[in-house]
Amino acid sequence: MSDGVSMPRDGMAAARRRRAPISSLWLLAPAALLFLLAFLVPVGEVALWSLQGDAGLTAEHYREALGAGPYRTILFGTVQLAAGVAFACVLAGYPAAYCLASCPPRRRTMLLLLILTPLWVSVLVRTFGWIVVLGREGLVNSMLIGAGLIDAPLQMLYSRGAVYIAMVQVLLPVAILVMFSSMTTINRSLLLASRILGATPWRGFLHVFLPLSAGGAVNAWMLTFVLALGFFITPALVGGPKENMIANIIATQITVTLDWGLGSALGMVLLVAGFLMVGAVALLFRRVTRLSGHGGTR
Amino acid sequence: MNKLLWSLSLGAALVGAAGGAALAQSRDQSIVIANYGGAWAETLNRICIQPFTKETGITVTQAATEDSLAQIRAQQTTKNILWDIAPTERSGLPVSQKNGWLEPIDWSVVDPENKLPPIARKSHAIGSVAYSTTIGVRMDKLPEGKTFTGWEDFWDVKQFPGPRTLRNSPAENLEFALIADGVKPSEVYDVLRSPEGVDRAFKKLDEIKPAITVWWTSGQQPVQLLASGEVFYATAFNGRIQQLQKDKLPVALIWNGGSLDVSYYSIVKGANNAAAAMQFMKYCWNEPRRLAEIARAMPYSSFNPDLYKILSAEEARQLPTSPENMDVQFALNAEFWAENLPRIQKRWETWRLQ
Repeated sequence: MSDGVSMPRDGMAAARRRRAPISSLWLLAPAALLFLLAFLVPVGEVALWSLQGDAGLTAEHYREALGAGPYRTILFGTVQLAAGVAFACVLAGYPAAYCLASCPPRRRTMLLLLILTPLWVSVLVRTFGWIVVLGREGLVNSMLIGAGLIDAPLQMLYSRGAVYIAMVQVLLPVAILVMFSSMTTINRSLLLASRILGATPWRGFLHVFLPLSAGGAVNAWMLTFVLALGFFITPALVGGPKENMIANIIATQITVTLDWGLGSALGMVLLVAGFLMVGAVALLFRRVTRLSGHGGTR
Repeated sequence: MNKLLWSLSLGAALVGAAGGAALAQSRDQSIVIANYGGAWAETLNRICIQPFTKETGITVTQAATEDSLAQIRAQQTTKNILWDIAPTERSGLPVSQKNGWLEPIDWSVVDPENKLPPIARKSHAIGSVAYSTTIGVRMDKLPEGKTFTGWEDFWDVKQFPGPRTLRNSPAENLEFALIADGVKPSEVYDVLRSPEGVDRAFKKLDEIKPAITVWWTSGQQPVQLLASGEVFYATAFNGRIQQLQKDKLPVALIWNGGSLDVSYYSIVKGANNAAAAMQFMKYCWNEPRRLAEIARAMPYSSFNPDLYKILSAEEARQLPTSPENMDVQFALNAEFWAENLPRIQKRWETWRLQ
């Protein structure tokens, strides 16, 4: 539908309709200004650094970042880990969000509070909590040894598994909140309708609720994925001897070796990789995300 | 004519007023010292800053930083100089000096009696105190009847089994590996500078790699790992291990083969108040009485030899720069690492992934 076709005869109405989008665009100004100053300008500068060599412009830093070598391996590892953690968050968070969205308001407030509380504790503290629990002489090992189930302590900390557990714990509340808010917009009478039409509760969930809430799940995945990409402290504290995230490498380049060119190039590559992944997922699940609007009247 | 006179006198009055303002400014001076915060900042505040301000009227502000070198670079590139004194340890000094980001130190002001040895008396930095990266050993985890003496034992996983941790950095670890391989501490940099020196160090590191549970990144980590029994042997800053000993943990500190790391402070180029900054350097980091107070508060010590005339033999034994401890350690070579770190760092990342 083009504007020309849908233009109504009434001039006043047309003017109102035309003006409406412009005036609402102004509402974006504060956010846009902040975004421009605090994001686009610095990122632009970093992009410039990544292209600066000793003698003018160069692609040398990108060659080093993306060519065969440690940085490419670590970059792939980081993307893989972030994708896995985000997936685990969605998987573990979905039932919780469902439960939240369908329980009575009073209990919902209580549960929401419980889910939000960990967000107020710093990531560092939460990570140290895992060191206490999973350590060689930690809670789990002491219990297992005390119960006579094992003789020597298990190596749970300082492994990829520990990074997964700690990161999922940190990011889970975010995933739950995103899915919860999308589930609250789903019109529950659609489920009722499916029951009236003879569907079992399970079938109703599978064919009505799941497709309508899938958009929220995809959004939750994207958000947690992007957050996980930049993780820094957790992998350094509970990760194994081979564990390394690209964020740590960037920090080393900026503060230790002072190779800002390479550090900036790695940062830009991470940014683009994040965009590409999120863009691909958004495109792939376009149908699903569009569907979620349909049930959007409560 | 009258008009000219009038404007001249107005101009003179303006200049006079500006001069007066400048004078008032100099009486009301202030300097900014960047450092890494924590207990060290508190110690400085109590022992140096408060009495200094009382005596001279110069106010001293501390600015916390975690990445001094990157900050110095940022301030110099944007010409927005926020600090007078900045820490320039490790590669910080040679890199900043080479790039012209520092003011030279006037040693006739900071060390008029020529007390400091060359290691603490650099053209663009004063060695305030030194700390050591040493080995911490959980005594209760040692095999019966064995004594742990240094790097050869750290590498000997048969005689001394158990998990270990080292810092996530090639600097120092390459040196330690060479000492474990039989190189004398005083000769590590001769070997490292030889063509096959770095290869030899990495080859030796291959041997210990399976026993490393985790590569630590922050100074508190190895201490926490030792305390929780996560590792039995660790490299850590001497002061952190001594804190564990004060907390009655069965931990021994091995000075043998330790790496002496000097905490340098420099005056950044374009500092607002370089003169007052040098005055402070002498007051805080080159007066034996105050240096002794610092050493008693934290086990980090200066190179001023008069310090050991004040301290007891028992106190001296705990300090990295006491003659007996200096003899068995090597001084971390900042120039070597400034030149070679970018190259070796990449090899280190690759090696860790293998």
